[in-house]
Amino acid sequence: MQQNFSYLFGSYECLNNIQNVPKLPIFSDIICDFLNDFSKELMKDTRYRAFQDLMAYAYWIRKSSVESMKKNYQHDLINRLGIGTIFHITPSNVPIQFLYSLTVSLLSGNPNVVKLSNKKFDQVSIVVDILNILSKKYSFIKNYIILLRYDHDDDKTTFLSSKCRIRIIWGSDNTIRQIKRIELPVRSRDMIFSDRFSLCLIDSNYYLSLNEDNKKDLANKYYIDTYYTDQNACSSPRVNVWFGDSEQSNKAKKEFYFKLNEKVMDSYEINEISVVDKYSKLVQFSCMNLGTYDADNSYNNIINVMNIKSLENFPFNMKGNSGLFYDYDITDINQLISAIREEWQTIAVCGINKEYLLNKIIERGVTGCDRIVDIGKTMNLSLVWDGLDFILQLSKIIEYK
Amino acid sequence: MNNNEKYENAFIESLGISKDQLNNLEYQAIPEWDSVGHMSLIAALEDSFDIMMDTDDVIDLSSFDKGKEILSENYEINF
Repeated sequence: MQQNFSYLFGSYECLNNIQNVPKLPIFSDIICDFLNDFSKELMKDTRYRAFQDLMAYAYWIRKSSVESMKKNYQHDLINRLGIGTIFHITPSNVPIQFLYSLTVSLLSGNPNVVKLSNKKFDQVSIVVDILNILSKKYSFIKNYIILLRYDHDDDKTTFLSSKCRIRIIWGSDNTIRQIKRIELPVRSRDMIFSDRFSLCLIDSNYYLSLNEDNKKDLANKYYIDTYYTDQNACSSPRVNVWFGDSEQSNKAKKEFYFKLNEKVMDSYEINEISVVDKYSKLVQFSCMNLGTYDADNSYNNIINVMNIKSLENFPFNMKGNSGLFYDYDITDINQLISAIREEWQTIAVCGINKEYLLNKIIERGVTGCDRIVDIGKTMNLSLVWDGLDFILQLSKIIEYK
Repeated sequence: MNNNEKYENAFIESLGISKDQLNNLEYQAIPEWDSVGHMSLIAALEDSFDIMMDTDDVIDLSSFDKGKEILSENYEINF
């Protein structure tokens, strides 16, 4: 049954044959060489420099970085290979999420069918251009990468699902529920990446002890974590937790947002729709009596901050974008730990010992919180996502004792 | 190409600048050497000299001259 997909890369013939494509060992030479050239193509054209996400990706897949990642799987290189065809359903909120998903799967040794969202991003066109350039040198790649689009259609999703060993779904809880209704082959499974929630934890006393340059640097880093993606990434902090006594925390907040405003004024353009959206959320929250809002601190609607009364009762699914933050004060780290929920993904820290926080979380045995990183590093790429190691998840071992 | 030429070339190609701009060049002194240019420069240096740079060295490489120091002290590259 020939389905009418819109192919950005690859063809129906390749799609039809995908289950016969040989699985590769993890970190195979041909894939590593291909990614190395992909990185070079991205970095050499200065037109692409405007896309920081593409540049960060190119940096991540550069030769030395891939070799370094490969070392972590040294003992498995001999008998670990791709598990089968991977069907990726990728989101519309982060332009190159599809590329990340595809890359980890290629490194795991699998052929891939990637359903892109219908949102037209420049980054997608650039990736397709480069794939076309590289397919001359790496002719095998058309068997391992199929990029396609289609409007919501259960028949098409059923068809593609029937070909895969693992269906990776990146999306909202609703999207995931809809797709999970569609059957998979008996031995196949879903891998789910749903809405997550991230926070920041700042030691107020430590923040106040920083010099002006360091405070400015922190503001730049926080900007990358938040405004750079309009707070669309699930790793973007929504709630800023301030650890310290109330006087210190209030002082720290004032300075922090002042410095952030300087950066945002310099680098960010907000539109009216975003402002209206922020205000409607603030009104909703106020009506739900979740906290207080001081309009004098609104920094021309570019930064809006609400003080929330409780972390436990905070409706995480009502998070905002384009500079909407919630402040929460604690005087004891346990107040944060006891509030950890399943949806929490990243805690970005300033002035907090990461290992100390890690141990606190492990002591408690909670299932939420998969990452503890420094502010500025929430967007860093890694083979581990939401607590799962992609290489191990998307490959299999052949035991040969 | 000797190491000096390789080194200069990495800057010239990755930042898209000319040889006469290299003298006393510092990070963020020109628009081309911003954080994105820096990533491209590091990738080019690693590739040219077949090395993998430590994160600390990546951050410390803040000028044309400092870079030479770092490469010779930490990566045994002779200039």
